[in-house]
Amino acid sequence: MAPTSADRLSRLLALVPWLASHDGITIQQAADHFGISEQQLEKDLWLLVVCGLPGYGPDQLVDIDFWDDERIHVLDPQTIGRPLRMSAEESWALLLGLRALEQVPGTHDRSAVVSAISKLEIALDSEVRIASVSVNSKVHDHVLAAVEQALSTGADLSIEYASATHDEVTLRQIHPVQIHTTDGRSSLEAFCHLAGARRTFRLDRIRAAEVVPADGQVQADVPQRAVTHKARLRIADSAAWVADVCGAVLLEPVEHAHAEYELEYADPAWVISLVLARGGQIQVLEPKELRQEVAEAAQAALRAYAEA
Amino acid sequence: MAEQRVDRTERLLNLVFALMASRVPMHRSVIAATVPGYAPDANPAALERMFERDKDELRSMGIPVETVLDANGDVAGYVIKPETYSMVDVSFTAAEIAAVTVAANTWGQAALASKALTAVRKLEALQADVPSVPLSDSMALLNPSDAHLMPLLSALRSRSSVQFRYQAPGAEPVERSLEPWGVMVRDGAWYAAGFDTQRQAPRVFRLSRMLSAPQMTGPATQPRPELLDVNALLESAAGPDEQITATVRATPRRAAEMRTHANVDAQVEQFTVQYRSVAELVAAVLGAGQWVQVLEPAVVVEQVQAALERILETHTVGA
Repeated sequence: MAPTSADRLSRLLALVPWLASHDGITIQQAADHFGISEQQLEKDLWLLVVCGLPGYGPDQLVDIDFWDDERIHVLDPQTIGRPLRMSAEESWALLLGLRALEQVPGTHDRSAVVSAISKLEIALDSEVRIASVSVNSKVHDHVLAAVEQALSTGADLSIEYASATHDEVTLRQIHPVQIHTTDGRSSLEAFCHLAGARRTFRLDRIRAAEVVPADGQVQADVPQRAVTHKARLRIADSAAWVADVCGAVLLEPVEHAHAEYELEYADPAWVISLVLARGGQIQVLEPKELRQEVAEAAQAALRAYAEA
Repeated sequence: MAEQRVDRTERLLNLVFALMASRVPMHRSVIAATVPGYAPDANPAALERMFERDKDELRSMGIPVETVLDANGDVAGYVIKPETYSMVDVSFTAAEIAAVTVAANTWGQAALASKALTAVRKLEALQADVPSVPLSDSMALLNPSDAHLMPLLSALRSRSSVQFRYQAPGAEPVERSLEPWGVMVRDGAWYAAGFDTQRQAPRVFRLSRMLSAPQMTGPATQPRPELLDVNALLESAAGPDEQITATVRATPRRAAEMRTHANVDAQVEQFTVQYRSVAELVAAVLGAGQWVQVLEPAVVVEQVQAALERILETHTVGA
């Protein structure tokens, strides 16, 4: 999206107070800081110095010296020497970012994140504050703390993990490598001693975690299992949202009620559970083996009732 | 005065200066005659359109352009009060400035990335003796759909109601209308909470299930609650009367998903579970396959078995 006049004006109004509080900064440093080119910054500065209060005489214009030594000095900001109060969107963007950070293990200073949030909340307009913006995760606090400790000390974790693929609770010893997070859902990439390879663990599925001394047998750089299988699925329109959640791709737009999708998967168990859960709204067309496995899983589930 | 094209940013900036510096409200005709970029001789209707657009633009950026009325209720003019324009003083430590810088970096390619960055620059400008922190590599923790999120935030700011096409699980797509109270992110998904004007009750909608971008329809009618417990709202999204409780039997260590949901240990064989709807319960039981059986209510047992037979039929080779 091309920057609008409003985008540029927002930047100009933020630029002047920032330059005033960073007297003598170079054009290059300031341009880097605002994420624009030096040429764009100079254009901004040239525009600023021809603007000002009605009358538009020398004493009424913004006065910025930036041609002497490549350093910028704000001599007279006129009425925009203080920053414009944060817009609602700016405040929410910052608050959501801080709250996302609050829930992620990592190297950032968590106490500074917390205090920044409370200071911001006090500074916000009540109109902005009353709108609730939040980031939540179901990760247990003690799990978050244990993961953070293991990551920073290089220790192992002993975890009780609720595997989604196999719908099974397993006990594993893992060596954490790094955290990946999107939209409040965090995964831990780790070397799993049980599997003898790198695996990814959803933090909200770790039911318990304990820091234990590292087991030396970590094999570095073991590549993760590659996604190799592809299935063709027929999904009823009423369950089309499932495709979005599981990442299935619509094969071609079709008019009739049951569109066909392609789904990449690593483990058949995951697809089987997905198909079962939708109670008939998803049909596996290919591969044949997977169709067979779905049928067997349905049969096994029915048999469990018969035997009860 | 020689006519020369004045850049729109320049006109807006000079308008801000003029409205902030003026001791009395400036009438539109005075603005047109004073601020470069307005053509004072243009016809009044064209001038009015131009000024209205500029004024809305400034307000959308958060610049408090006040409309002052005279004794007859007519517009006397416009003014920006410096004390309402300026950000209040907040004193941030170096560690807090570092924290907000990292926070601004969580937006990746999203539209809010530049907004967050501007917010940080404003905070930095208030800290004379705290060093600014250079931007590091982005760690994109937040990845919203801008097409859905941005209109929702506009509606939130302007207290408007919105309308969108929505696909609830297991239902036909329908038009829904909402007076937004907030947005939240939970476990990998974005939600909008607010007052559902059709259901006349608070509701939560998942952004990924909105089939169209929310469109503003008019001012909101309901007062916003002072404190919004979004988690409680999410848990009760279907309404408490639709809750379903069932007794299940599960193989030890298996059915991890349902054990997590019911918060029971890996070894427990029989327990009760509660879901927001029968459909959700049935889906959870089916997804656990042979490792979970519903003991009661009987109606759920029947639904589960019927679904399994349906699946068996459609997946039997050659059928």
